[in-house]
Amino acid sequence: MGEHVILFAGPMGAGKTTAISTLSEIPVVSTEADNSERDVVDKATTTIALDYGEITISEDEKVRLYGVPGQRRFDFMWSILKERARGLVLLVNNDAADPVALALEYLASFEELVAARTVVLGVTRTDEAPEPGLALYRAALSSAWPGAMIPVLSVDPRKTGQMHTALLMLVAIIDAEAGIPTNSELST
Amino acid sequence: MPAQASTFQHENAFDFVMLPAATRQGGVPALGWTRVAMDLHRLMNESVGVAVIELETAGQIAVDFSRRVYWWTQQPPSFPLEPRVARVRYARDYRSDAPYLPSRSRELDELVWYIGRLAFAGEAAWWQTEGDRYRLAHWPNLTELAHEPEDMSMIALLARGPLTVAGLSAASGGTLDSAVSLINTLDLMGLLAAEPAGESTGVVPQPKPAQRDGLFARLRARLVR
Repeated sequence: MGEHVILFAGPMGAGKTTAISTLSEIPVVSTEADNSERDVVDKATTTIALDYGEITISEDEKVRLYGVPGQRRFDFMWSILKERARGLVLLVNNDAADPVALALEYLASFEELVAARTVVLGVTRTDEAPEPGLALYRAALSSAWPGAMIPVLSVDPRKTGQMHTALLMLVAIIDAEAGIPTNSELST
Repeated sequence: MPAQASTFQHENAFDFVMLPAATRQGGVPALGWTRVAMDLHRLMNESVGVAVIELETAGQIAVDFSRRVYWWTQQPPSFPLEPRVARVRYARDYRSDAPYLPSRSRELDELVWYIGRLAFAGEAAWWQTEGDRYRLAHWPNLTELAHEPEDMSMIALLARGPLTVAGLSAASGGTLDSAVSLINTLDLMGLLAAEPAGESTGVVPQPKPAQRDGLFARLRARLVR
């Protein structure tokens, strides 16, 4: 059975640490430091290495939840983790400046997982910033990666039910991508 | 407009046309949610106009197709399982910039999801052709819809490639009824692309134990403990 690494990525302030706290059965292990970009997001600290949480499925099987840093100067961490990742939950706060472009920018950094179609996009803070609507994200993603079929959800990282939905959707996709042979696969 | 109003107040300002009940083979008229689903299926691609759905003993539902929202005259929303009488009127000339639906209107997908699950009484939607295969065009926003975990695994399979209703049931390990209901609903929401029978180049449905015993099933069991 083993371990299943799921990444949570996105810009600073999108709710990655909160999302992992909501899902994890253990207190989240966070490494935070002073925020050097308070002009971007007004919070005192931000994740500089990663957040970690976990869900135990059985004695020998765990889902490991890693939040990767939101500041791009730490993006070398992403390449270390994404090699082990089975899927990605990308969180983008809808009140950011041009959040659709942000989503595309982050997804481009995880193109292996996009190509594997094991990505879910969660749009946060839609109650405070209803626009852009989810249809704009879908259109932009379909244009950038035709056929990738990335689900776009509105999500509140504080709500357990919504985070369960986002995580289970991702895992349903992982299973589906691994589970059914196509005609071409059968003929080879 | 007060949210508790018993009728759609602006109905008289526009030229509403009563939509005739759809019929299936043998002239059987559509009733209840099936009638509403058939009418919505005709209208879902409209980018303008308002439909007023009149439900016996359950008030009226107004649907604004330009904003993709609906509003129901009764509060709080608790739709009947099957309205005995349902009629639909539609006005195309409704001005899309007029704020006639109150701010408490809700996302149209929520209404269509509900109706799609209840219409057709376990049969395929009347506009569908037996043997067609369906592929997901884009995912519904499931955090805002009352869904079952089984829906997620079925939708993920439809995103992977085109499947018949029976193929979806077999590949997911779900019941045929739940596959029929889900495909009806996604189709009504406009989220599926259909391939006529015999033209498919996609997935061969394979009932695999992995769908029942995969990570999804194990994680789902863990999260609902």
